[in-house]
Amino acid sequence: MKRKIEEILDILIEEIKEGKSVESCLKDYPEYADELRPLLFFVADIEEIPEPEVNPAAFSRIMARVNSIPEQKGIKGYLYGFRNLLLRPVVLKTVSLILIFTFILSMTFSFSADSLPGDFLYPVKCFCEKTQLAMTFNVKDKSRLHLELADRKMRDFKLVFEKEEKINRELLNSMIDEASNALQYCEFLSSEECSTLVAKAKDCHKKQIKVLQTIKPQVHDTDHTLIIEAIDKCSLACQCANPCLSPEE
Amino acid sequence: MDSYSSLLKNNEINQRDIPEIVSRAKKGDKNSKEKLFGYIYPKLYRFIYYRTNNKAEAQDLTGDVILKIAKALPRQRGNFNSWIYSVARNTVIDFYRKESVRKSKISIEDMPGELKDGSKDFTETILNEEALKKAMEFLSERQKEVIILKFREGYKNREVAEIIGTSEGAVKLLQFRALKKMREYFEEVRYEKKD
Repeated sequence: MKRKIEEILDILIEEIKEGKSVESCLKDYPEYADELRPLLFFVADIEEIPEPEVNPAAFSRIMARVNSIPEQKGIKGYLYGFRNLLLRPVVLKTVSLILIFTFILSMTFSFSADSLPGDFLYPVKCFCEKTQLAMTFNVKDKSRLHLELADRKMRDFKLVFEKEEKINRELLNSMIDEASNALQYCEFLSSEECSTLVAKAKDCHKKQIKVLQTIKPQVHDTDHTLIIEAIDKCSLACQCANPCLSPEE
Repeated sequence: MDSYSSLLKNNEINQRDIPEIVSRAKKGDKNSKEKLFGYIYPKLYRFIYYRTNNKAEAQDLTGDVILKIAKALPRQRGNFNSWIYSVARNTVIDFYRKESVRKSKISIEDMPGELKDGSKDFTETILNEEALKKAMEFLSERQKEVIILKFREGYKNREVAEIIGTSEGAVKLLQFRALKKMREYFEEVRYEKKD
């Protein structure tokens, strides 16, 4: 197989370094002689250039500084290395960007807490609530969170009604559903915890009924049926909410 | 000073002894540290010198590199040669990034004295350190590193490949292209070898 020109040049460079003359090197490769001759003469010239001189005074100054570096051993050494890593421009920039991003994100989440349907940040608030539910793994906490969300939805429902004087169906349904959803975890709780949860869910539904009855006289005729249906749903949920009892009881 | 001067001159440390010296220097042995830095200082200085504008800059940057190496030495893992050159490479890059120094394209006016003068007979021109440095400005960073490590430091292809993180084949190709480019540069200024 024919050798590549860069490989032949490399072989010839080694021969030049060993002290062979350019012409004697090229004898074995006459087909490349014209192309390689100037390069080999050039290499021979480079080899003859004296090395740039090092300043001993500069070296001694550096060694004095090197010797003054305190020894970093064990955990201290790693902490020192970690500090140095943090101070590297790329790491510093990345950490700053992450912090700024986290700050902006947390500010957006906190501002979205008071938003209502139709507001710019309302989708963010819904996203936060869903994430919060998904990230809660303890069933007791999860059921508590459902009740909290039911309360928040009820507050929002009232605010939207005061503002727009009309029923927001989405909020109405979700406030009732959230309170009922809290009870789905009862089978994983002790009977005492379950009774407390049922009592809280009932309270929540009662509050909802109270709110619905307060606004009932003020709603338009078109929404009247909706309110009555919602009150019925809440009352039914209150009556049925007793999953801790065994069939015999 | 005298001891350091003699240390600098004493570059005859056997390559095979380096791992042992590095290992002792990592444990804090002062004598080994001095030997090691005496050995790598000229190498790093030359490596940096061909990539900077002047000797003072190269000297300062070499100092910075030595300090960085001294601080991080106890935690160093892997190939020592490859590591020290990567510290040097990154320090030079950081320096130019900070200083926002943009290397201007070399024109005939930028050539070293003896090359610039058109009236001179270029056949009499000797290839010197400065002229080589100028010619190297036309090379890519990797080509530059191959030329420095191979022709100034005397490393073998395998060692150069390890240091710059590539294959031996790629080193040969980089070497061929770099030499061709530099030769063309000297052709342009009608450089001819002095007999």
